[in-house]
Amino acid sequence: MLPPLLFEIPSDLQAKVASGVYRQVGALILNPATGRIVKHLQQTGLAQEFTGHLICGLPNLLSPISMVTQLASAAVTYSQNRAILQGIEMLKILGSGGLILSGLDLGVSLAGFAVTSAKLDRLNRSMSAMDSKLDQIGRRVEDLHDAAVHNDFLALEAVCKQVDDGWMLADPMASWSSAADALYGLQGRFMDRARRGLAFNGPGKAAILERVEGFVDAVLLASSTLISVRTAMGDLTAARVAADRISRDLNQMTAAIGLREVLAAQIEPEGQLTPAGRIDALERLREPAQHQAQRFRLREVQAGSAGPILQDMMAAGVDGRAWLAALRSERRSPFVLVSYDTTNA
Amino acid sequence: MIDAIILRRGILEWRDECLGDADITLTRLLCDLQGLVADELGKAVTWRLAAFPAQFCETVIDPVVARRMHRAMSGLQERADKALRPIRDDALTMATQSTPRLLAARDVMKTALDVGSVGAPMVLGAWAVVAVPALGVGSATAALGLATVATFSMPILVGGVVVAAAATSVGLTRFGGLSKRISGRVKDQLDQALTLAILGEGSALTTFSAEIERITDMVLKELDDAATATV
Repeated sequence: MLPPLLFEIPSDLQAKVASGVYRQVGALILNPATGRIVKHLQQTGLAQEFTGHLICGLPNLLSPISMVTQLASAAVTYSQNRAILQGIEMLKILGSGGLILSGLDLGVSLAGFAVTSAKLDRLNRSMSAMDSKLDQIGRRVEDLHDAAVHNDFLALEAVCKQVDDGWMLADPMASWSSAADALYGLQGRFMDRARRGLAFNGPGKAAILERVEGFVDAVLLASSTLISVRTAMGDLTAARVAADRISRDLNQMTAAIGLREVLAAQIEPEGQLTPAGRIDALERLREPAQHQAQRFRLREVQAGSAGPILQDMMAAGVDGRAWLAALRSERRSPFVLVSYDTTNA
Repeated sequence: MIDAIILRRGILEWRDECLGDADITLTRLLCDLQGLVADELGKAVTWRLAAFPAQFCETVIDPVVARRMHRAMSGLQERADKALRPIRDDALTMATQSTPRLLAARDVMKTALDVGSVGAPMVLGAWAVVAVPALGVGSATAALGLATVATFSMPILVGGVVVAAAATSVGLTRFGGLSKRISGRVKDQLDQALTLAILGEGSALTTFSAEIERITDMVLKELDDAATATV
């Protein structure tokens, strides 16, 4: 059984989100009174075709700040494609444009190679750009910017390709199984690098934090692909366990990163400040620091969303592979609304 | 799980909002106090200041510091409490749901009062330990942690005595070398003492620093601990 797809936002749903009866957290539309997912945004195969272009054009992998202009520019670029425009409109209505532009997956990842490759390319380039900043830091943090990182990015790209290619095989199970093993390892290594970066205390912390963001994105890319491949293998329980684990680990690791840490890191290069200078720096740097802290929250929500979605899929008896296959071939809209439980709306 | 996602995000955003507010408010407080100290010194009788600087500080400067500090920190607390209300409303809505959901939320939103009893008493210098719970008033439904405390409060604000102790911890009356200094240097020393106490930096009074907790750090840590311990 596959759940129905909604290509437009029902007016009552829109009204309840606007009035606060329903709460939107990331791609999820939640009912706080019942603690259940009312609906969630899900990307389709059509989204895979154009998000890669959007991601390549962004200054950072996560750029919620530029959401409005990017969405407008996307609308112009795809003005001939009614389906894409409709999807963009859906995101705008729900105020979720930043999510897709963030490069994070909406709903269950479809692990399409084109978009994954674009994300990895973006990540790798931003990492390389940061290397020069790290070189200026007296105390280099071992293994945060070396060939091993580059090699792991290449390995992640290869595994993502392997997962995507699996969809064309008559019997992809063995290939997907080995890919899942590799993804576990890569996810762990990027997580470990992010932890070490966060543990660093010293001059140049701001550059290290940017680096950490890159590693966390790599973790999320590996984990969302892992969840996708487990779902494709029909093992929703394993997918759910993987989703819960990465959410818990990420929450534990990044909860401490907030405005205070980011501001301290950004103010540090300004040296000893007078109280007036400190006030000026706090006011000047607060907004960018807030954006950086929010990006960590966005990632935590993204990681935390997969588990409840998978739980609902299991409860509704959804066939994971058939579901992903249907979404991957969907071309009527890049984004759809999905509900696995019609009793909670 | 869903409860945890909503509450966790709310608490962390609350933490960031409060921390940003606290940092800039306390730095502004320092600027204000330095100006006020300069005013009071300008009005002081020179011979009295030179002869009894400690007494001058105790009777004139400390009350000014205490009053200003109380006002600034009360404002911080009120804003923190106000910002916490919608999160508290969500938590209470969720708490009225089924027991499994409450238990699940409880796992994530640890008891905030435990934060106080375990590790977050405010220490205002070696002589002014304020061993009160980190989150002053707890409601009966405190099981959901920070989100359900009736009123958010910081122990540094509990009672005028504590605030006075905070002012004293600035060290104006306890700085041993003060009485031996000429009056013209008193302002510099007061500025340094205030800076050290509030921001913990920019002061050469290193021998004194061991006794003084950085007030800004304490307040920020208090907010940070309260939020982080519940997520």
